[in-house]
Amino acid sequence: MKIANVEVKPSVISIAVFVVFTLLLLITSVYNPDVRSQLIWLIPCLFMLLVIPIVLNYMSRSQYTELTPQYEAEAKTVRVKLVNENMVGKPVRIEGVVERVYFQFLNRPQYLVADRSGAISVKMFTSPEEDVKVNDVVEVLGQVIRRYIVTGDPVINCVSIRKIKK
Amino acid sequence: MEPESVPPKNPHRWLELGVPLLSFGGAFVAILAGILNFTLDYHYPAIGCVIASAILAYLAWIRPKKDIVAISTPIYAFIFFLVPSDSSVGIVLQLLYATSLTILLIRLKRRFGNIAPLPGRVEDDGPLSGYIARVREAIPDVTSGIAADAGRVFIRFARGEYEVAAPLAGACYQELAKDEDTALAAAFAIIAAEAAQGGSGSAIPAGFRQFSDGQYASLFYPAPDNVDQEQVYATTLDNALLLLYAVSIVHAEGEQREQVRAFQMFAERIACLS
Repeated sequence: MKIANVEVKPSVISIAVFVVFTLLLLITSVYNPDVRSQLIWLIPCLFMLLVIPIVLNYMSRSQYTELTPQYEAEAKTVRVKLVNENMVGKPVRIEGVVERVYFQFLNRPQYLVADRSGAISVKMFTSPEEDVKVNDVVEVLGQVIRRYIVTGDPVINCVSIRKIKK
Repeated sequence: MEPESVPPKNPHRWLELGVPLLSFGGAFVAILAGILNFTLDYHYPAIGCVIASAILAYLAWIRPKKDIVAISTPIYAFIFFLVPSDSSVGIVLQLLYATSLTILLIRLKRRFGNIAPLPGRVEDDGPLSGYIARVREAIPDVTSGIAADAGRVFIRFARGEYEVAAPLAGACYQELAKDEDTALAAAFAIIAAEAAQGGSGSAIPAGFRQFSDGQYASLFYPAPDNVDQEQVYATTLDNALLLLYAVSIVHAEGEQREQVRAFQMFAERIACLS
């Protein structure tokens, strides 16, 4: 779904929550006449379960889309092995193969991207522009952060992940 | 014959043993009190679980890779055993908690690696310190000024400040290359060229500078025996960075050396030791 040139994708979890509560509301309203009189506000509430995640996703996606050109201009291409804790806060660009993908269903995907020098976690706090799968060759733009904000190994806070042809 | 390698002593062995001993020990005291019909508030033996949680959290905290689950165990211990609640703190809960802590300890040791060295401390053994000793013998005559510059270039490179590292390394190369073509001069030239193109780009520069065969004696990685240019380039760059690190550790003066030593983790990463 596109809103103002921004690709918006609600997570599977929010869709599942919406479906579950819709079914619950349907069943309850069939068996309990008291609920029917409340439908005037229950139905909008139900739709808010879907609308709020979509709006949040749109806001974060549009923010990331605005940031991408800035990172494209500033980020330096580095080998994965050279990314270290002294580079925290620096924009970087890495190229590699996606070895693993986690939490895609939450719209907070985390990738393990490897080049010939090593592998690094790439965390994204919104849905990616395109569907990235294991074994895809990608270009990652992002900022070096620590895994747990103040501590942990260096990881990349991803602003953009794009498939490239090698 | 090479002497049999002795595994390094684990200074936190007793703390690691303390986790199952204290947690199961507390549960054992509670069971014993029950068998002997001795009236004992279960909160007292449960303190063993609380202390064991704190030890586990400490052991997780001092590792380079933090285990957030192990670090947060004292919070659960506090909620389960110290916060007054209507439900009693039973032996079953203590036993389950002790089992969980032991499983977390095993997980911590298996998945989260060894304990981090203290900042600024060089391990007494290991390939990197062995290499530093080798450089000390192979390259004995480096002025402290050049060694300090080597350290500066290494630090700037580690921080990703390639635009600063490139001219600095280039200037050092110009100064060293006046006399003779040494491994150190080659390392400066390699870093200067690499930093000038903004870090390790994916494109390998055509005809990139390499170490000569004779210079590999003072380098960390041996000469790559394949024709894969990407591999040769990566090894060349790693060797250059590690040589600058080793030279600055060996020949730089006090404060500069300590500054470079703070970047030991980066050197270990290049040497594939962390």
